[in-house]
Amino acid sequence: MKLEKLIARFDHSLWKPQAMRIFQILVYSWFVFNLLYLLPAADLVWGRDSMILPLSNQPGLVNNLFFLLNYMRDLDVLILSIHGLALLLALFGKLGWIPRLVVYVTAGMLYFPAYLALNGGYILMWIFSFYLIFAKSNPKDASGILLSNFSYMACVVQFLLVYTIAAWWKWTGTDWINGDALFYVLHTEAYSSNFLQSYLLPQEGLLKLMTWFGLIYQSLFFVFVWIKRTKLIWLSLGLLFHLFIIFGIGLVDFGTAMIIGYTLFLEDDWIAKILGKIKPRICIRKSTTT
Amino acid sequence: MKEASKKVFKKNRFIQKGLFLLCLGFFFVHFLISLIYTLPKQYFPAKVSELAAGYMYPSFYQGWSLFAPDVPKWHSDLEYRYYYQGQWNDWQSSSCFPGGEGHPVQARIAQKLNHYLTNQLRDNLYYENKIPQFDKVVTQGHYRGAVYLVRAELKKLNQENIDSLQLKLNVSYAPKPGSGAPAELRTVEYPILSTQQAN
Repeated sequence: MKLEKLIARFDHSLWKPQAMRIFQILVYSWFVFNLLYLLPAADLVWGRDSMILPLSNQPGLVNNLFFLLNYMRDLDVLILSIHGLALLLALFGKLGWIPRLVVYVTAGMLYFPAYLALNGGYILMWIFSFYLIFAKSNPKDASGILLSNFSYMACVVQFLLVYTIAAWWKWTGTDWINGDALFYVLHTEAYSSNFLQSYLLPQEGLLKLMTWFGLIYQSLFFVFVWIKRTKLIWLSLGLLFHLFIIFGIGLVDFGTAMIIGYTLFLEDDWIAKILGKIKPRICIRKSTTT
Repeated sequence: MKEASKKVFKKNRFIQKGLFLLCLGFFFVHFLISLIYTLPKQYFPAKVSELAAGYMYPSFYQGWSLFAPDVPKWHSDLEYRYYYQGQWNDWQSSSCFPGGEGHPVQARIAQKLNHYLTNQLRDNLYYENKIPQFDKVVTQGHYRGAVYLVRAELKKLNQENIDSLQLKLNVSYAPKPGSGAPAELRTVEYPILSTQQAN
């Protein structure tokens, strides 16, 4: 009987239909923008003129599939085209789960030959794309609802895993605990700029506070994100943290991927309110132009 | 009629129960393995880590030790020069696109590779009578990756018929916070490679 009740919680209705739909759109849009950004350099990243030494792989069907581009570089245009087409179909919710599966497979095929050109942001989106295979945007039967809710739950747990594991690793070192991590990050040219180096490096106290904030935020994210009263403030702080990663450290793809993950924690009534505010404005604009 | 619909309902609930248990089972096993795979390896017996890696790689490959446990305390730049028609050309950076133009992703590829190369030098370079020994360095994948990258750049420059190639890594070590000292610079020149070796 208890199992029946538990199943009913999963297959009765979607837990967060609005948040999940927005999340889905953002994940596939992220892939589209990433593809458009890398397309001019596709030859250097995936093609015959690639700058990246192919990784060696173990035999096996799955390995051979994901590493296909490693030893058949000429297929780059074909795989990129299939990936792009599947992304558009998944974005507009066409042909059900098939394009979503194709996005996951092709995204994996594009990752391994280009691992030096991509980072954790891409990997996070790729893993999300696996869970999203099972998410229907408007399921009509109980099985569809059940799968969609599991998909939502998997995305949430995956996101929490990222923060929690990242924090765990940081607690095992000394730089984050001493408060020196950001000082060293800003010293690395790849993750800094002249402006940040000249403005922030002399401010050691501020750098320590920012480092500790990052550590505490990641460590406690999985607790505070569930407290509805403080959730908005908590997510806003995280948004600022990731905006700094985007504009300060220059990791645009990783920063945006993490911000996209935040949509999973938005309440549907917040989204309804935001959409309610936007829709009348659009209507007013339309009526004034006609 | 009622009996028939009851039967259908019961059958549907049975399928639903099966689907639920399948999803729940996959969910717990998948995330348990993800946890084992992403946490530091020393927490688990080698066999467990190996099994977890077998499931996770490549289908669910991930790693979240972002700038951890400690942050890299250096910035490095890979340079190369080649011997062609009886003379060495000037050293040039691998993160600048040949001709000075290009896509920012090239700099990212070079930076990531430089990071691995620096780690690799730290772990594998040793000295005998104050002479650096590269035997453990040049057999590593990232060194071969660096040679591959430089060869790709030379191909773009239509300079494939070179006689020899040499790589150099400039590493700038960050000072300790509060010391006010300038960054410490160190340069490591790799052994010269003949074209045959570079290919």
